[in-house]
Amino acid sequence: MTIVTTAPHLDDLRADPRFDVELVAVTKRYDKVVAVDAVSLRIPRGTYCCLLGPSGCGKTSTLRMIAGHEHITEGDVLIRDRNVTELPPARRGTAMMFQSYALFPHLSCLDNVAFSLKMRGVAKVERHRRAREFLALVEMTEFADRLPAQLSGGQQQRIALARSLITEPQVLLLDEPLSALDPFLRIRMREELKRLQRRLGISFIHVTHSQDEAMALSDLMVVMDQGRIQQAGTPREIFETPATAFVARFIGGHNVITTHSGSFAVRADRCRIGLPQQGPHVSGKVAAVEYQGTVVRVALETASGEQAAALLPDNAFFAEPVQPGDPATFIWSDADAHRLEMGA
Amino acid sequence: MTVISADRVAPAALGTLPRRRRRVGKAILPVTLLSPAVLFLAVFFILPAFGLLTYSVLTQAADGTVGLPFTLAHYTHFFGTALYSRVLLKTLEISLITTLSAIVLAYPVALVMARSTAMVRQIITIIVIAPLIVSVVVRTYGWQLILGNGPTGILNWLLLSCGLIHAPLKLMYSETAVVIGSLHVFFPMMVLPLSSALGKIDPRIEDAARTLGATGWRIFRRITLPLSLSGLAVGCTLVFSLTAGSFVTPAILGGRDTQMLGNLIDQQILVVYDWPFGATIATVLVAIVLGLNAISVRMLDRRRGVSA
Repeated sequence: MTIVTTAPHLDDLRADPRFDVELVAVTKRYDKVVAVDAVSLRIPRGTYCCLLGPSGCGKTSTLRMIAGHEHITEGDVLIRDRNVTELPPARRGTAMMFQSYALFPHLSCLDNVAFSLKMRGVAKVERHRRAREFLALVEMTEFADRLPAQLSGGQQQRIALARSLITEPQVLLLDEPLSALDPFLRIRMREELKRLQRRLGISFIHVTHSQDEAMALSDLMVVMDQGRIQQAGTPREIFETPATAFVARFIGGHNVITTHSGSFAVRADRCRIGLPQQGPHVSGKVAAVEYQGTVVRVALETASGEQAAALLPDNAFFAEPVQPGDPATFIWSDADAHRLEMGA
Repeated sequence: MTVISADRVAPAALGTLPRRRRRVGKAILPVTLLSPAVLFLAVFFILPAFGLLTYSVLTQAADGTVGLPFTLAHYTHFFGTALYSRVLLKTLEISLITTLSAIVLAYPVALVMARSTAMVRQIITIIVIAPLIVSVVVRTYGWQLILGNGPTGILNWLLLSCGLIHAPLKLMYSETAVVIGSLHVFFPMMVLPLSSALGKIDPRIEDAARTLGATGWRIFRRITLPLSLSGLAVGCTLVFSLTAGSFVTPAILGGRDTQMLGNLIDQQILVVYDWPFGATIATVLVAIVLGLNAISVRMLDRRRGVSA
């Protein structure tokens, strides 16, 4: 199937912009509370970008400011080199998919998808033809005449996707799109989102609080906390070299160890149980043992109350098993310890 | 993948005896809860309504007693007399105008109510409901003072002193006065169901429409209006039925040519003592109002489709 692209936008005729979205010191203040604090970010063309962080970290406000649903207190938003800071949502070249999907309950799937074309005054035959193309894109052709209430959550989401994509956005904004789905469907839909993004070649900006989701999807992963970007990079960069203790803790799978010379992170799957030698180590009592199939997670509590965890391959664990309450020492090689920036 | 459904396991675990007892209990409870209301309606509404229907086909003797034989003469008399048809049409006209005016006035109020904080909503509700607290007679006499035809009528006096008009308007004893009076009383019947229907619309649906290029009026026309049709249907049914059945308002505010069916019934029962004919008019009124409501609700339901 083919997606017909509209004539190139006038702005696209000048030098091909390198970035789909640029945030320049974007700030959002509610009264005196700073929700987003001078965030700057460049999203290269055709990027799957995830904004990741705990609730209240400013990720959703950032997304809504890019969409134009939230007024920008200070700073600028550029979409393909065009300053859209003052433009209404429909004129920014963005489309937004809402967490609740916000489908029109009284319209059939076909009319839901065709809605934006109707608003632009496209004739009925043409807009239905185009809407069917986009229903085919999300594999929902046979549901064209159904009402949203007659669909499952996953199907509603596909309709919401088609309804956003028919506006031929330069950037698609997704607000926690997978959180309403059951875990099984979530993994399937996230594969599809990624496939769709690759196929369309536009940027997706996806807000989530799940690090698994962000790692699985991102080309560019942006970890936020307290209205600021803590770290931005590829998932591998962030997982292998977390910048701060917050990032290391939030993305999980890391132990944050504080010594007199500063703090560093070491991946839980690089820790082994062994004897304290010259190398780096941490000693304490086994607090819990969790069998997880391919690995066994051993939690350790030090005498000073610090927590650490090791993910041991199952055969290694069962060769020398430990019980909760046993004294144990985690060891790792120097190369696996990653120094963290001070702060957070 | 195999799925073991829970309901296949449950009956054995529950046992037979407690289950049966629970089912009987379930059947008795709703009957117990409903019976007082059903009994009340049967004695004080359904029986009298049946009596009314019976009266309308009985014959009244010269001495005033009502009895057999059955006859349809009252109905042919009603539909065969120009005066009565005219009053019937006037009743429907006034009810329709009142309903349409109520829709136009109520939508903005209901929208504000649905979008504002609980406190603002309560204040508006109290203001909207206030007319219902005052007796219909007192309220209607109040309107008589306001709409008075002479230069001393409050509205005329106001317009004259502002220089907006140069001679007093004829407001009282007109259709306008009846519509205004009815609108005042029945306005809450339109606002309350509308605001409740509007309040149920997810505000993000309107956000979504805006993202997709819809602006103010078109969001209302394409999204808000269709999604509030259920409330509109309830409001229209209430306002139309209540206006069509009203009697005090046209009696006080209406003139000779704005009498409604309610006034006709009043005359037949209390002045002419022709109970069978009064019953006939009442039956016609009820039948027409029920019929129109059924049609309008059916139409709105169809437009709404099967939406949840």
